[in-house]
Order: sequence, then structure tokens, then C-alpha cells
Amino acid sequence: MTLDAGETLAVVGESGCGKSLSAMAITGLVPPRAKLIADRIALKGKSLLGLREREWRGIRGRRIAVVFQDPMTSLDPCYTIEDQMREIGRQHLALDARALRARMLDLLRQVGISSPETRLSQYPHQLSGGLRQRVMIAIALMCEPELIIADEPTTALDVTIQAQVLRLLADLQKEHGFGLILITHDLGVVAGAADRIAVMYAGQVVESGPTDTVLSAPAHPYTEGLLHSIPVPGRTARGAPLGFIPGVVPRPDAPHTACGFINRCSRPVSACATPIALMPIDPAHAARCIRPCLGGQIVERHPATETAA
Amino acid sequence: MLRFLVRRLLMTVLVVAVTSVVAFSLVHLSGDPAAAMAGEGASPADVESVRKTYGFDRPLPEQYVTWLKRVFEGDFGRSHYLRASVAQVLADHAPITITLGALAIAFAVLLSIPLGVLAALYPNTLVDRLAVGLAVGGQAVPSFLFALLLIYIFGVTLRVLPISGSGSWAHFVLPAIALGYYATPAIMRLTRSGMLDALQSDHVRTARAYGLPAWRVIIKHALRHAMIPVVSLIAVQLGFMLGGSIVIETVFALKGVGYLAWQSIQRSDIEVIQAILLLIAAAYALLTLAADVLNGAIDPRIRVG
Repeated sequence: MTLDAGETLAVVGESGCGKSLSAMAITGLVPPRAKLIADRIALKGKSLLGLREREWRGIRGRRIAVVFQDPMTSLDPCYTIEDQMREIGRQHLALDARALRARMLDLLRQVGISSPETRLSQYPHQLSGGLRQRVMIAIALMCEPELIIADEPTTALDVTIQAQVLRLLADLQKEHGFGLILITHDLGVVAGAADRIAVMYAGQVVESGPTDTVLSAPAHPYTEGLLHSIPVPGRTARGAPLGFIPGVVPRPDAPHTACGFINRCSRPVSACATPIALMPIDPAHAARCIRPCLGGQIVERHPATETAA
Repeated sequence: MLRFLVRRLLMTVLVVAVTSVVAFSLVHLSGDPAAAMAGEGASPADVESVRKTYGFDRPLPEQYVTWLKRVFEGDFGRSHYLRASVAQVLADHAPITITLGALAIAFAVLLSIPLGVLAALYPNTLVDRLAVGLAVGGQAVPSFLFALLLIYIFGVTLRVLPISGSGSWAHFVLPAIALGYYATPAIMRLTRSGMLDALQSDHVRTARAYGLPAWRVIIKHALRHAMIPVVSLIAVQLGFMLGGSIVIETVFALKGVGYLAWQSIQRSDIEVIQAILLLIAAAYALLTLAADVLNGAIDPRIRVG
């Protein structure tokens, strides 16, 4: 996965496919029992692998900020919004108390909070879910990060608020120019919001490319299956069963000795029983499949011998 | 906050009122107080005269009201055995128990909370096992045995600490450790499990993702949450200690409330027993109130509606 400044990359896939884990790995934060194995994680050309705890503190929150899924629980219920914003501001910014408070008020206004003074003095449980997510976004913007990882930022919100939050993120991105990784399992969110899309399945990226291309002409059978399972008004026949992908996801600890999708694929061949690399279709589009669908045709490719991307 | 306080305060008053009834009834319904006070060799006439003198012939509700009225005036009655006012008797014994209880709970808290945090930071490792082992030792060893061990090691073999009496602060060291150690396992385990939960909570993940130093995340954002049930538990444990530990007070020859209660029961000194029961109940209720208020200060969701 790569991301340019000011660009939005959507990472999609079903629950448990490793979207969040992969994104959090960029910040070096993986659960204690997980082991981080990566050939390269870099921000603006500088490797983030093997950083020491102290060096990470200059990255986390300052250059990479995260907006989490559940705004109900992502803020500490014991402290006011002001306490929490100030703590993070003090950690990263060399501002005196007045300037920091002005900065906090400005940020809250930027995320569309109308009475920032009141909100600052309140506790998280006194705010609605939408407001809390706006506060989280304000905190993310605190240090003008180069990258914001939004981990299902709208999943816990109701539909009208979802659209508002997505628009807010897009507007802020235009203004501030941060790269945005948008993790979601909602393809509807992706269509309007992302420049590029990475589809994940069983811990691997199975297809990546420009959003329009991937959504209109999916190359990987998994992406195809995902898109088929979404009802489209006018196109999906009334009363007809929705498309679905048969079978179940392989266990996360299963070794990658074959294509992870082999047992659920609609067009497997014997050559699929080897590990498949992510192979380019054109410079911007790639799929982890030896029989991708290109321009409505199934194309046979030879299993790549190059290492997995 | 004010409404919260008033509500808790009302609860406290209710609890004390109910326990005063229970305390009074227990003492008066467990045998004939007049016969017990008059002693074994007393004639029926003597028992009758005791009954009259102390008002035991009146209906029980009336006796209760009379007693309660006096208590409200600060008069807890007289100890017929010690021939002194109950207030005076309590004033002689309570400071020892309060000192012992405060030191014991301080020891327990200082030992068990760091151990609990340490165990939660390295769960299922050697550190965790050692911390749990050290804390649970307090529950596994009977307190009288542990007290005797302490006496043997520090008092008899090393001769560094006094083992009996309450003459100086040094006298309280061993009993406070013996009594406090007994409270460590519960506090330690609750701290450990609370920390394990808190460390996995979303807001702790947020704090980490925003580059806050590890110790600040642990203390400010995790421990604070883990402490809420622990505060309540500490209040109960301290209440238990203020009730007086008969075993520890006996082993170290401390004449505290536990010792006094035990003696008074043997002497059928019912005015003293009643007063002790009431005061212990009040102490429990007040400590619970204090814990609620403290928890309100820790977590705004408890106090701000």
C-alpha cells in the first residue's frame, strides 16, 4: 500500500481481514501477542521500522494521527475535552497555555463545533456520538499530521451523521493536505470518498487500484463477489436473492501455501494452489490473482515468481 | 454533585439507622441480659432487681427508643464491669485500633496496588506469577501464624522491633504488616484485573496512538479507571480493620476495640457491646460514603448526570 500526500486510500474488506491491524502497524502499535513483520514501513521516505519508543512518540499523534471507530469509547471518560486535547497538545507542540487554548478552540471550530468554549469544559459522555467523533478529528488535526488513519470513522454513527463526518474529513483534507487512509467495510463510503482502494482478504491486499477502476471493473474474484453482494436500486431484481460468496474465511493463522481465496473462488485452477503474488495489471492497478477479469474477459497469467508485494 | 452527595448521605443515615436496630436487637434477644449481668450465683430476686434498675422490664421498642435518645445526646451509657462511661472506655481503646487500621491499610495499599499494576503490565509471565504469589500468600497463611512468624523473625531472632504493647510507633509496625498483609490479595487481584481491562480499553489505545509517554498512559488513563472498584474494596477492608482484629490484637497484646469487644461479650457488658456495634456500623457506612465520593471524583460519569 502506498499513499501520496493529499490522497485518500480506502482499505476495504470484511471484519477480521486485517484492515485495522495493517493500518495500526504503520504507527507501530500492534497488540502484545501480534508480531510486526514488514519489509518496509516508511513515511516520506524515512523508514519507521525499528524506531525506539522515544522516536515513536514524535511520530504518533504528531505526524500520523488516528481517528478510531467508536467515538463513545475512544475518549477517556474521566477527563474533559479540554484536558484531553491539552495533554496531547502539550506533548507535541511548544505552545504556552493561552496559545494552546486558542489552538484548541480554533480546531473545534474547524471541525464544525458551534460552541467550542462549552464543549471544551464538558466530559465525553455529555456529547453525542457525532460530536465526539468531531472532537476526535480535531485532536487528530492538532499537530497538522501528514497522515491520518481513519479506522471505520463512521461505523458507530447513524447514517445522517456518517455523511457529515465523511464530508468533514474530505473538506479538511483539501484544506490541510494530509494523506488519508480510510478503513471501512462499507463500499458505499468508498465510492465518493477515496482516490484509490485496496481490497484486503485474509490479511493480504488482493486488489488495489483507482477507486473507479476497481469498483467498475474488479479484476479479483473476491472484489467481484463483494460488489455483487451489494443491492443496487434498479439493477438488482426485486425478490431475487443477493449475491454472496460461498464458504468461510481461512483461519488467520493458516499458512499462506495457496491462494487464500481458492476454496471460495468461482474460477479456481490447479495453479491456484501456490502462493499468489500481487501482480500489476497496469501501472496503477494490481490484483493477487492468476486469472483476473480484465475488460470483461478472464485472462490467464502465469504465477509470478517475484516476491509478494 | 450536590444531589449526588445528598443522596449518598441519606443512604448512609438509613444504613446506620437499620444497623442500630439490628445491634440493639441482637444484644437483647440473645439471652436474658438481666440474668447475664447479675452473674451465675445470683438469686431470682437479684436478677429481678437488676432487671428493674436497668429498665430491662420495659417493652423492647421502648428500651430501644430510650437508648437511641441517649445516644443522640452523646451518652452511650456506662460499662457496669469497668465502672466507667462507655464513651471513656471507647476513647481508651479506639485510638489503638484506628492507628493499627490506618497503618495496616496503608501497608496493604502500598504493597498490593503496585503489585497489581506490575502483574497486569506483564500478564501470564514470571513477574505476574511472582506478584500474584506474593499477594495470595496473605490469604493462604492464617493471620495468627503469620503474626507469630513476624514476631519470631523480627522480634526474637533479629530483635529489631517490639512485639507487644502499644507504647510507640515501632510497636505498630509488626501488627500493621500482619493485619495489612491479609488484605493484600483481594486488592491486588482487583487492581490486576481492572488494569488488564483498562489497558485494553479504546481510550488507552487513543492515548498510545497520540504518542503519550507509557507511564502517563498507565497512571493517568488506565490506573484511574482500574481504581474505581478498588477504592470501594479498600473502604470495606478498612471498615473490617476498624472493627478490630481480635486475633492480631491478642497476639500483639494491643488493647484495641477488637480486644474490648471480645472482653465485653464475655462480661455481658451490653452497653459497651451495643456502642461498639453501632460505631463499627457507622464507620463502615461513613467509609462507604467516602468511597462513593472519591469514586465520584475519579469518574465524572458517577457525579455528572
